[in-house]
Amino acid sequence: MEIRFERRESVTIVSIEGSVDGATAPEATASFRGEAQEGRVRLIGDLAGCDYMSSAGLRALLETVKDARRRGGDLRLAAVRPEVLRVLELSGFTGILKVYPDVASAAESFSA
Amino acid sequence: MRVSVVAEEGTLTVVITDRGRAFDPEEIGPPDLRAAPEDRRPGGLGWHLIRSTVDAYRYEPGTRGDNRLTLVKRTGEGKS
Repeated sequence: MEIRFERRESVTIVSIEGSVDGATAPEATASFRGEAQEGRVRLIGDLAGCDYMSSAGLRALLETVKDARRRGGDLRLAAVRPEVLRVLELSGFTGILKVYPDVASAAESFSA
Repeated sequence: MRVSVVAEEGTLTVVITDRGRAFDPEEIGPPDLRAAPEDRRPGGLGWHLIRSTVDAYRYEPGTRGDNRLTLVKRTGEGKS
């Protein structure tokens, strides 16, 4: 798994490539939390390059969205691949997290 | 951990053997998928995903530390 950060005005885009599983989910959680602790609480998870999400990955997303919302922000997802979207749907996460077709529309949603 | 995959006519069988702590999956209840995020408790989603995606599963806790999980998925291919 590789994580890249891009700060764009008030939004931080966290791009995740590869698998988010039991081995890599803690790093994903820590990455999101690091941004939130710096006051960057408008988070976009760009999952265009994420091809696998285990239940540990779901836990990372849940911890992140709870943390961000407690701080007055949010975690929104963009460009989720069909196979990962199916995992989100099966777990009821599409009722919790807002999912956008691309990063641009996710970023736009924060300024609405 | 060992993983074996057997593809037969119309069926994919995955057997995962590990030496982790044994447990009873039937004790893991279904998660509340409608709960608000702040009310959601971590854990249990892995078994929920397994139950949602495979056609049959069997978990056998090992007496000597080898736990075996068998997952069966019908693929719809082949004669059967």
